[in-house]
Amino acid sequence: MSHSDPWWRVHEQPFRSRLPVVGRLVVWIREKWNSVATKWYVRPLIEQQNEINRRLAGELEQVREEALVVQNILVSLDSEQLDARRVEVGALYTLADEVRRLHQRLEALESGSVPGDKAS
Amino acid sequence: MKLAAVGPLPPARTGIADHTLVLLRHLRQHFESIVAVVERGARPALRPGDVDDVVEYRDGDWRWWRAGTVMPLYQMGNHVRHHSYVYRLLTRLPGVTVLHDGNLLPFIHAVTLEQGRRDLYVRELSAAVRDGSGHQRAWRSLRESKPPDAEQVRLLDRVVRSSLGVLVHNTYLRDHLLRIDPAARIGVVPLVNVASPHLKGVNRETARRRLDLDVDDFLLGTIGFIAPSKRLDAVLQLLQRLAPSHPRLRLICVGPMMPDYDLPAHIDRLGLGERVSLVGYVSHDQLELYARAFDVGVNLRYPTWGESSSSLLRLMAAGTPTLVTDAGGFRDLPDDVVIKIPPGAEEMEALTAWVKRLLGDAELRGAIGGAAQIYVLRQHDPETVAAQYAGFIRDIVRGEEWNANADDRSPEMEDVPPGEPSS
Repeated sequence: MSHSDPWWRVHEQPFRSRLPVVGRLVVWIREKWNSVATKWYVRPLIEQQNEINRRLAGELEQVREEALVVQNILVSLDSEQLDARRVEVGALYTLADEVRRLHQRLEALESGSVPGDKAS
Repeated sequence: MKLAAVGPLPPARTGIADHTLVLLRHLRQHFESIVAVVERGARPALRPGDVDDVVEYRDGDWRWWRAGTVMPLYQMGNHVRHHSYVYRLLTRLPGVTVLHDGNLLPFIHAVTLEQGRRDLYVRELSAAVRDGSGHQRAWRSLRESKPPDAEQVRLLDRVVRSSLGVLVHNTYLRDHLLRIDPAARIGVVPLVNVASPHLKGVNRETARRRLDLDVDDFLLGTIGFIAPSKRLDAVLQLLQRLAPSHPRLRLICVGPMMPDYDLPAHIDRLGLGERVSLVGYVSHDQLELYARAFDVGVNLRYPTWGESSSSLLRLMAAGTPTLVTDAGGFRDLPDDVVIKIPPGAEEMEALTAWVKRLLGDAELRGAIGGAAQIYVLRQHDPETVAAQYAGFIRDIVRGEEWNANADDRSPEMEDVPPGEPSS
């Protein structure tokens, strides 16, 4: 496979033989037989497989990109939720404390004594 | 204002539990009521009046919170068993967090991946890496089965961003947290001195007699959890180096050992079996006796991430001159109350030089130990520290404006008399 080829492309493989003397003859016979019996049958299948692979690879890349976007959205939402919760709960404590102090003040006014603002 | 103390309490075997108990007793006067929220099954050893109520943590049960009228004070450390529920709560219900550790990566690893929760691991890393590459890093680390670089990813971000305020015990960690979120409310308060008052008069000789230790030996000692970062390999090397000229020099290590850390094998390899004692876990009182029995304490730590060191505080409170690493949070300490050893290539030479000097100079040992004791009494007084906690929480509740960069000192430290060194 050359460097410019995509990872999913399927290629025809040349025949090879490790036999020392008759190896070349074996390869020649196989090639001849292939060109007669299987070449015209296998080539369209390879093309068909390459088309399937190309489409699957494209889909995979698309899904990956979408997953990345979804992950980024989740991270942002998580981050926004953290900040929002901190702000809201902080405000809740402040308001609750304000109410508590107003109660104390009201009670003191009602009883006619000076309000004592106990440390938190 | 009401307070919920969320974190381990004695008999949990952690310094944070001891610290929290003493703190609670002094926080009591500053709050209308205090409820202790403890892990399931915990039976805290509390005296009547320490807290108003004890509630066991249950997932989703926030009745103790009383719709925002109870402020949680989270004690967050890195012990998986004691702090998992603390982390779970603090990331859901904002409160004030006392952060005792400067690197939560091992903790997060244990509570996510080791529980089969890859989703939570990816989420934590995503929150921690602000440039958007967190989840990619997480997936890469999962594919390669390799944790991220702890120097870059300490996983403290969620703690900082979930909390209304964070209290730490040194400026090193404060500065790190402010880099994560410059707008965060980060305060520095000292650890509380947990020394038992009834051992106040116990001197070195008495402590040794009680512990059946030889009064004529020169004892180096460590207390607390034994882990590679405590630099005991360097101390053993030192012992080996000085052994021929100092036959009475010994090392005692008091505290539990980290699993998979084979210190005994290292001791055997160096032939130091006769000179080193590994005592293991001991009671609170015995720990203090050991701290008093040592001639020199060793509290080295490297790498360090600004974690709290209650063991150092115990040694200093006992009046024991102590060697610390000149790094992280230890740098906050004044130079005359501890002996600072540089980390890295200079460590061994500095250790050797200082121990040789201390071996022959009882006056110097007494001066450093005495200064340490006074420092702890002044800076780590539980009542003063509790008032600083209460002030910090009060400011948060009242929505006081906060600008961490306006003053290098945190506002709660303003109660410390001028001229006193800060913790």
